[in-house]
Amino acid sequence: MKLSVNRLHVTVGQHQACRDLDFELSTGQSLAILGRNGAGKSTLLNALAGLRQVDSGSISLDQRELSVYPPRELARWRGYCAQHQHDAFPATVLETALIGRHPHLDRWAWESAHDELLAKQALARVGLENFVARHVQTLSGGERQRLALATLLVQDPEWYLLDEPLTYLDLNHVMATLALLQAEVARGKGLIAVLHDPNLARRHFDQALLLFGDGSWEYGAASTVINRDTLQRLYGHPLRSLDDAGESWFVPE
Amino acid sequence: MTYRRHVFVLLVLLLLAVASIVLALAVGSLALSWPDVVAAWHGSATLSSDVVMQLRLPRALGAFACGGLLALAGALMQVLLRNPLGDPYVLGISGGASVGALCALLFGMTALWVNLAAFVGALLVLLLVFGLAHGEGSWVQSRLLLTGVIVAAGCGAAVSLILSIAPEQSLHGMLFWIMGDAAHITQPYPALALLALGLALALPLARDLNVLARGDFQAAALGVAVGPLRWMTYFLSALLTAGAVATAGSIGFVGLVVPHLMRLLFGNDQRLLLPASVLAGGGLLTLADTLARTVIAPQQLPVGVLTALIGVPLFLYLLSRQSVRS
Repeated sequence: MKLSVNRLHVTVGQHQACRDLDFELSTGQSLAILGRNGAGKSTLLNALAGLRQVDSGSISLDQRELSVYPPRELARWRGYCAQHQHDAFPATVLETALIGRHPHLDRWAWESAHDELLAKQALARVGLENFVARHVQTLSGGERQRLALATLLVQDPEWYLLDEPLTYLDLNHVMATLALLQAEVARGKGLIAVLHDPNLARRHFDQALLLFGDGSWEYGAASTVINRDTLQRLYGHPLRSLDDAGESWFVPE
Repeated sequence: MTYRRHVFVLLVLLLLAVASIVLALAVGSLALSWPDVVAAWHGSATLSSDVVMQLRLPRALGAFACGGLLALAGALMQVLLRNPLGDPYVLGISGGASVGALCALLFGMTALWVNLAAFVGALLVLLLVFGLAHGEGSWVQSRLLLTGVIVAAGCGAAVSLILSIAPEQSLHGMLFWIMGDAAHITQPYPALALLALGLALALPLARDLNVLARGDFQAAALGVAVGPLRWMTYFLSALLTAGAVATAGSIGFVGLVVPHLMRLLFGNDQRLLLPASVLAGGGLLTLADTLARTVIAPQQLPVGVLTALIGVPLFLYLLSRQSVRS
């Protein structure tokens, strides 16, 4: 399945996130979006998920514009995981993972034992198997973020769109989550994630999109697009490149 | 298994609701035993038959319908505003109804006209708030809430104005109307029909509402058409509220507390919460109305006072029990 972006303009208020953006990505590939705070990374991700109007240009899945997909059908093709989770009402961890089945169930259908099994398997994959009956409002930030990822796994779309999925996680969970996402990509899923860490993006993603905050952008293989020069321009801070075992690591001066 | 639990809970609530109506038929200045009520139902005893069929039954059914309408409207409003403190009156509907009803009372109109004026007032506010708050963007929710609160405040001022210029003899009726009073219900069937319509429209959307309660973005990502669902929920909730206040005045508390109570007891699955709120709200209001006309009989109390007197301690008890558990 192919995601094509053509001459895309996205603006937030007066600010331009991207101008004439063009790229094509297939399932089985991963893309990291990098940029400064406020550059419009999340806005672009929302647009790619079909959750936001674009100013001009087109986003299509398999040559069909996102906007012509009925909402339920679109929800079976792409999933989206927000940066923050806000729970207004009490619910258990299992119930929260189960809502991922919503686009797969008929209007009057109830979640079956099979659906519950899928939810429990997803919770086990993010290390929340012992939290099934816990209330979401008692979870820590990192646990809540992993639960959101489990809900996405239950939704089981072809494309995973993640807004800063690693933000609240500690080091071991960052690595576990990246391994899980890479396994999903190897399984044939498409992955687009907004990230803050250029080193992780370079090491774990196939492609990278850099948003410079003035509408200009750079797209290409992560290992070439992410280099010292582009990152210095991207973040406006001098960087040093350290080489270790054939890999480059960028650290601030 | 959740499905079976839901059915069981609803059956128990249905039994309690029926019991509250039977109690309302039997209790009063003319106390009737269970066989008397059955005989009256068949029309075999004239005096008690008149009392039950002409006076108590319409009033009990009307009270049940109003309680159900308010609880359903409150449950929908809580999802819509994503706030467990949402209330059917928060968007000014009851304020508009009060202004309409009090104007009618001021001019000495009959009960039917008062109800009609209340309904028109509620609809006007509904359209006003909708018209002002309509727009695109993520802050529509807060604009809706703010518009409603401000319009409600304006209506509150109008109500005070009417009360201050009203002649002494109509003040009592006005105060009862504001506090909510089921005494004047002669025709419960429009409210019952509206309740049935409300449930028929809301239940097919219940799982979508479950997802909407998780937030607009999450719901949209999971395939819910968020915009149409939100406006539909708003209109339905407002219409149900208008029907309730036009029938029995602005009875407070039921719309806020009953859905909240059901959520504390049974969780936030709207497929259970919506019908459970209807049954519990209807039962609670029927019970409260029975108490309102018997506690210090022959003096009658406004039922709104009783709903609060029953609901507040019950609610506080459940809340404290929950905080101990978690």
